[in-house]
Amino acid sequence: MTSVENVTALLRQAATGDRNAFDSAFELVYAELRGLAHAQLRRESEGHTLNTGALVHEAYLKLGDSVGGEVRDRSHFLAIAATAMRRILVDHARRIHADKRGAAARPVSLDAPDVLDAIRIDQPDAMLLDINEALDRLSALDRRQAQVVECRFFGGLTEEETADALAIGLRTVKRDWAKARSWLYRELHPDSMSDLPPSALA
Amino acid sequence: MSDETGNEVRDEMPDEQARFHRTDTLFDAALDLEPAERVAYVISAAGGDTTLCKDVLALLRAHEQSGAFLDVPPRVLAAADSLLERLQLATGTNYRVRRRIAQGGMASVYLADDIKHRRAVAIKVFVFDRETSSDAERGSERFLAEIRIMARLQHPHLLPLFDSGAADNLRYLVMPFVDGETLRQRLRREAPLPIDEALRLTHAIAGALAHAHEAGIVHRDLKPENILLRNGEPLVADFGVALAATESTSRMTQSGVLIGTPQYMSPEQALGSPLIDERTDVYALGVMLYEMLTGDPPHVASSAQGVLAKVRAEAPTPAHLLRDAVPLTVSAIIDRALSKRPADRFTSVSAFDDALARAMHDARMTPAGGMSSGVPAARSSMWHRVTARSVAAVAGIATVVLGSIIGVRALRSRNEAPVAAARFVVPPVHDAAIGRPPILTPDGALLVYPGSASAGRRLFVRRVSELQARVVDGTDGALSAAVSPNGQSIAFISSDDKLRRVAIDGGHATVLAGVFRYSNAAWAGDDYIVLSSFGEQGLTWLSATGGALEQLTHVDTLLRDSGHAAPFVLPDQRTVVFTILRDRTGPGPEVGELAVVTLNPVAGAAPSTFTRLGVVARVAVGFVDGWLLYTDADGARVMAMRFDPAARKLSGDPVTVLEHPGGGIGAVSIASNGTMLYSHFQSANAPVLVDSTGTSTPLFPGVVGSFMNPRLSPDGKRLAVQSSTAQGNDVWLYDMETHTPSHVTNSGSAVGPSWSPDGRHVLYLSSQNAHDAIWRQAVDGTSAAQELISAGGVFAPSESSDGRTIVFQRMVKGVWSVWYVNGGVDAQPTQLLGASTDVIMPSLSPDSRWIAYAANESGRYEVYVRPFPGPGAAVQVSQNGGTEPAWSLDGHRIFYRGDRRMYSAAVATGQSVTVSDRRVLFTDAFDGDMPMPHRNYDVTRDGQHFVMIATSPDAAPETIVVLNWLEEFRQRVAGVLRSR
Repeated sequence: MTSVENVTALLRQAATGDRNAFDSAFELVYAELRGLAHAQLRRESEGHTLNTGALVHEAYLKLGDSVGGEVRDRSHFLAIAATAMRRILVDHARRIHADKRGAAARPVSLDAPDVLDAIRIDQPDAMLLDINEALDRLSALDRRQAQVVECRFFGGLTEEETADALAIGLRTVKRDWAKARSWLYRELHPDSMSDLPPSALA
Repeated sequence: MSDETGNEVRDEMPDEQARFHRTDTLFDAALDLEPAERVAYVISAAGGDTTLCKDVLALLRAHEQSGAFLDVPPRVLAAADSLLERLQLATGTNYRVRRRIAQGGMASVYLADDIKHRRAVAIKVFVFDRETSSDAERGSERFLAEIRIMARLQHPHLLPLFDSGAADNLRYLVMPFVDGETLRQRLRREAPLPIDEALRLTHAIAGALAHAHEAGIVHRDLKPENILLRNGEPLVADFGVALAATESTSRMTQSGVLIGTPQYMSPEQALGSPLIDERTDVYALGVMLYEMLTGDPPHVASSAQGVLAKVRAEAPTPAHLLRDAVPLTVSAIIDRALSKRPADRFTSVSAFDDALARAMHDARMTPAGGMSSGVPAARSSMWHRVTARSVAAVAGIATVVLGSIIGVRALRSRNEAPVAAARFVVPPVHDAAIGRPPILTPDGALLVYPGSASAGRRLFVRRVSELQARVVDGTDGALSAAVSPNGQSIAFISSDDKLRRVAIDGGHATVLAGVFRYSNAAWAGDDYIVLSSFGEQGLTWLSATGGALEQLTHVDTLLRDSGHAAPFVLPDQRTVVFTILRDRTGPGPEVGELAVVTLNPVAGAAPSTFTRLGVVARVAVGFVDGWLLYTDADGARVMAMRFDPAARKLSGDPVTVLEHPGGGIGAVSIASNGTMLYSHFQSANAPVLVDSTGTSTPLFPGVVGSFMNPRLSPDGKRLAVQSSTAQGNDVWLYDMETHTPSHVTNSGSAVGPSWSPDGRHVLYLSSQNAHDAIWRQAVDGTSAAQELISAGGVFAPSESSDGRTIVFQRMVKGVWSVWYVNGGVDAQPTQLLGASTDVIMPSLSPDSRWIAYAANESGRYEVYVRPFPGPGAAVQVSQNGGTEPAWSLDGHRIFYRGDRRMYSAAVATGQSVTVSDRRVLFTDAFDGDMPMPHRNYDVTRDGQHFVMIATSPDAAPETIVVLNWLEEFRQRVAGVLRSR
């Protein structure tokens, strides 16, 4: 309870660069997103799909009472939620991937089934993991471009929301997105890049 | 270390990072150019640096090849896709449904094998699980009927329909599976498009639309998502599908529910108009061309509401101002396609397309020259070869074109009488938010409304068609308003229980009379005002320049009537229709029999006799063409009946003239220009627990309602609270631990609970049996409710610790005063405080030796404390205004609210009382609406937490404007008369 009450304070603290505050806010949002995904899927057991963006927004609404509706706080929230969503998706993909390769069986939980077991993600797990690793590499080279991808792709945020979340212009979001997408595409499809026209290298 | 743009500063960079940075910079520059020029530019700009050149060219290639890469965020799926199974069952053996390939707001698309024809198909499926079965059946029939027409269409740029069906609450369409991208994906990858390309696509799409229009079908939901690109050729998909699939009953347009994507919606769609024709598609095609040319749709805002407001009201920035390569002629043609009125647009997509073709032809005829715009490489687009001279020539043509369009617009708007009613939701304004339902000025030009708590609870005035609102000065605390027939003055009632009058432009507000804050005022001509008041007082009237309240009606308590409410004055300025209430009290819906009385403004006259009209309603709202209009008992409809004011008789059957599904119609006003306005109000709030820092947590998660006056039991284990529902007001108990609710009262007329100090009884006010009285009810239900004090206008009781004394407030002749009763049931009430100014919210200290209360003798409410029952002097507790005092359990502190803050002050009580250590505890924006004059919060036993009533953010009234409603009304009543 206390943590939920303090989410606004945490977000503001995190925005000043306080690493501990960021970690606490992240844990809170992460738990909320997982809980929401789980609750939603239990309620809508009929092949219902959840848009990651919708989950992020729902988490905002749920924690929103305490966030207080300040635009600035909402932006910080969305940025953190995109990071949290990325971790959920990647954790899930890792687990499935590990299962496929016959890694050591996980202990059976006697508690409520974990959300990571109850869901499936509509993109190949190997590809998600590849994107995730490539994104880490991009982040080392250009942090902002990587953040844009995190918001747009993993967080399901619109261009406008991404601009707000990262406190940058809409034009910058569009351009970074175009560049990062190309860079990631090249990283993940090295074969199709090899047949450049000879004239280009002249 | 970063520079302004957030890029890393360049020196001391590791090699890899330096390489990335060089590549990124050149790639960025290349993306600024037209696609055809990029490779040449990169080769020359790399200047022999092969690594750099190779890196950037690889990125450019990736850019071209990436298609929809990363465009769709991952979706989380429940482990089984049963929609797929349902679709498989619905489509039978003809198709094998493989997997979901796309999902939109309303539909999912599945990839399937068409077994008979051995081809891949896409099946679009809509789910209607929420409809009733008869609605679903009707909807399916309509859907299939529309689809049958569309299935006959054939055009190279139309995506054909193979098949359709409806079963198991699903409706589906079978289409070819197109392995390509949508125009949306293309625009995401590369926007803006080259001008030639944008015009080529527009021409092809226009051809497909023209073909469908000839067959009488309007697309209605054109947007880049619905244009598929196969080998670069556009295919228009989803013709009329969105509407056919969703508009299962005509209610959808009636209630003003908007279907479509805001950015591509025409103004007439944004206004909810049912008159949609091919000019709607002209508009949407204009929007798409605009977006292809400039990179963004004409109207962009951070919310759908914001977009719609702009679509309705704002002219877009002309395309040539955003991209100078767009010829002025083309820009002017797009402007015309984007006209707000359909009549000002091209009459058909063909006319739009022809105009574009002519403009291109003219532009091609102009001589090519060597003028360049500073970009070195030759441009492939013809538009860039235009010389400065020809730009001037084209500009001249454009001026003529624009001039003639403007001329036509002016002419049309003068001559064209609007025909159809159009409705829209009044868009919210952030700093002038609507707090209580607006009314229209009599001429229909302006909205007048009390602002929300965040907007400062003052009156605002706003043009119906505009977003800007202005404050009416002098109206602080206003809760309701009425505009005089001449439109010059506003009478308003504020939270200090006063009726005031102010000029519509603001200024000094004159106090006319003291009245209860939830009274209603109605002008009778420009000279008199009729008022309803609290309890059994009946209607009163007074001169619009002030003076004594004169009695207009007398409440017949022998007939068990409990009050007269909601006066409505007919245009004759003397006939007043009102609602006779029975067994009701408080702010719940007022329902009762309509009655009529004639105002005879002679001071000192006896109350007039009134006539009952025999119709149960909420309130009378209008008198048009001999019809009396009123809201029905459920608040779901406005009804009309023939009314003869002279004979005081209603005749004929009631006719429904306005419906709002779900009910809640309130504050209807009808203006002389035919505009009608009503509000749809659903109050929603919840009790929350607030700590001393102002952080709040829902007390009962998931519980939302209309709560007021929370009171914790002395042991802190239960909460008594007033809850308003359609059944009226009742007092409920919530167990603080299990969150279980239970009834204390069941009469629909109980408000303002408080606990007896022993925690075994709850006191409340009720007006059941047709009179105001304070009652006491045992919470364990072991004994019947007991009537304690019966007197008109009683409110807000609190009981002393020994259970012998009850303190309460009472309104007499428009002024609140504080009274008490000592001893048994038969004892007479004694007035303790108050004479000419209001004293409210009495609160006894835990030892019952002191009383705190709020009084406005200084012109502003302040909290005071004095010995009880006296004698002794009063000491002021608050400093800058305060109300709602509450004592801590030990009697050492008084809590109160003022200036939107919660305060705490230490009080030392001995022979006299001293106040010290005033503190602000937290900022208090909890009740969005002004509560009744009864404390609307409580303090926990430890004095550290507060139970507050938090207004839900979406509880603001939704206001709907219907332009030209009188026309619709006349058609409706004429139609009903004909059919009889």
